[in-house]
Amino acid sequence: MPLGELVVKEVKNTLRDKKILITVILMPLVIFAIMGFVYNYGFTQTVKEVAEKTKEARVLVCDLDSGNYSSLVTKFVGTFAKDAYVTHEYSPGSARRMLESGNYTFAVIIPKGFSENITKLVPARVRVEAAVRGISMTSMAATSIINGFAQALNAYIRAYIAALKGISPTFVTSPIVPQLAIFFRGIEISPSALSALATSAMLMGFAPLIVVSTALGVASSSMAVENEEKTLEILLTLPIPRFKIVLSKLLGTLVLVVLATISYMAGFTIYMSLLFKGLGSAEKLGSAEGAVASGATSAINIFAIDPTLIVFVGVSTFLSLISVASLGILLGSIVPDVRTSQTYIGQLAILVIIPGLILSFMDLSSMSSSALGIMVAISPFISPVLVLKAHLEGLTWVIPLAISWCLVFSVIMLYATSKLINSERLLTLQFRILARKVKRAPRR
Amino acid sequence: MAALARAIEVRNLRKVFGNIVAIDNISFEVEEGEIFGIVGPNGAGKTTTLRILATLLRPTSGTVSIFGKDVMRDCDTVRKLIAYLPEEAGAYKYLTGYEYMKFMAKVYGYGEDVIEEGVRLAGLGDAINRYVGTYSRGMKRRLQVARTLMVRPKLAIMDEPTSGLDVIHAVYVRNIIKNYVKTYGITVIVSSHNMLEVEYLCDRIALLSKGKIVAMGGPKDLMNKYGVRNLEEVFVKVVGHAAR
Repeated sequence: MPLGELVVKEVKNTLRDKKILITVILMPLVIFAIMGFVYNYGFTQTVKEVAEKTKEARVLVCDLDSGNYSSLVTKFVGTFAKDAYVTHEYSPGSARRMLESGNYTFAVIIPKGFSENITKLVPARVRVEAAVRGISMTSMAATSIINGFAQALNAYIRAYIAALKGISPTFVTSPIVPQLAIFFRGIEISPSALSALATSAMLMGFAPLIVVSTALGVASSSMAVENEEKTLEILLTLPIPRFKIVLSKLLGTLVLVVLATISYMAGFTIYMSLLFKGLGSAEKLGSAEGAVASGATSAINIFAIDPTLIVFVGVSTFLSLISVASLGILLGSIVPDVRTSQTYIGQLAILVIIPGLILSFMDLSSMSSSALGIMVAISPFISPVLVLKAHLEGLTWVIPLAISWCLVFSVIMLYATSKLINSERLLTLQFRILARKVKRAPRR
Repeated sequence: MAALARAIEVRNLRKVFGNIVAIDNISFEVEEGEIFGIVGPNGAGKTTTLRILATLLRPTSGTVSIFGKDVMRDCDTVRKLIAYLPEEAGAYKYLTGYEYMKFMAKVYGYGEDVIEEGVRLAGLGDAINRYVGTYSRGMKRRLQVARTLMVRPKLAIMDEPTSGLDVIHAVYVRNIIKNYVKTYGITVIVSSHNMLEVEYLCDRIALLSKGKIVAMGGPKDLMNKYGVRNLEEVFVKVVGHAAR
């Protein structure tokens, strides 16, 4: 029988299952897109709220100092906010209540001795209070407004004093202009780009992990469903070579994994573009996330233009998929149903995810040679992440080693899988697992 | 000139699972074109025997050959000669009945005429174009019986072909087996609890109890031999003897 017929049967029987279609293919796209929209909405709303609230701000000024410089502060508040109410009294309780009721956007409390301190060129304290109604992304607006006010007030007073003393305000602000540079593989990059590069390397490491974990689940289900639907017993008596059965399951899995990967990548792209758009808005607020966002964009560009890396990661992902799908088929062959296979998959996925996460967060170059050896040995399931890290860190000798080992491991797994389903061991194992399940079941 | 090989030849077959003896030294032969029944209570070893014939299990000792081919050594050839219907046989639920028939016909290298034959045998009408997942138990069984017979195997191995079916579906399935097999000279080995069914279908039967054959012969011969009116009484009489 042509292999194509078997693969078509696999793909049809899997893709027509709405549960698989929704969980494996549609969900990643929808979840990432929703997450992206939520973040983007949050950031955009925050930026909008800051702009609107600053423009419409009503400020309560409690001037307890009544000096020259406190008058200067009051004057500044007049230019910063739409409305300012000045009082010479302050009761913490009533100020808080007025802020909570929304009568004022924020309150500025100028303590006694404020003007005296500034006159003596001693830093003077000003308390700025605001109230938020809930803890959410939009409540960040309150922080941004009072932060913005504090910075603007500082700059205003600094400029006033500098003019008084005849010094340039820019010099007072930054007498030294630091130029920070970090070298990565001979290329000079800024600290923010490095931080973005690290984040991106980590995120790019997660993608193959998700793909590999998906393959494990899909392969295992494709075989477990044969047991659940009582079709395996017939399949094994048909005049089809066992290797062809395993190969058709593998190819069917790969088709589904490719679709799932496209969905993940599309979802991830939507998420990242919306996130960066949102972070771009945050950058307008002068936040650290904004700086990381602009750095991350350039870092992703660094990855995107490296075709060697794409080839290496592609080959290792393909081999990892074969290894992991073979393991899934092995598991799916011996369990009675899809539900049981998913239970075991949950446990097996830890073997993929934990080393994958360790690799994502650790530098290979800082590992001892034995630790690196262990990483290569356990790499067949996480090979793409290992290859990615090795390439980025310039440990080029690790790449052929990891890919060769992954290839050998894939062949072993394929052989073992076709051997298992070629013999009665499969049915005997199924009986044993079933017997153990019956034994464990609570007695009435 | 070499003698023609028998359809099935089982010699001193024994199958042990751990410390459980599922089949205990049984021997029997089935001639080409015969419908042979294996009858016995649960746990008698019927399904294990059929699974060995279907190349799913290996004998612990003894030999089993199908048309002269050993089920262990020549399992690939044996699989081309047989079609197996397990007691609990499912079909891919997201394929239509027609797609399932087409898949099975292609497995054996057949084309459209065999698929049409399968569709006719199943007798499911327009439901053949619906997903198998929407079928009732009876419809699924009819599909499976049709799938087993449409490829006209040299040997059809059928484990409880009417198990769990209502009278209408059971009669339909029985008639299909009887008529189709006699028309095309297919050899059939069938297991069943239903003595009436066995009496109607089989040329010869083997009564199995606790892994051993306790009686073998034509249904009428057995009834005459034990002086009873039906196979149920034969079974009670023989198993009663064996138990004493």
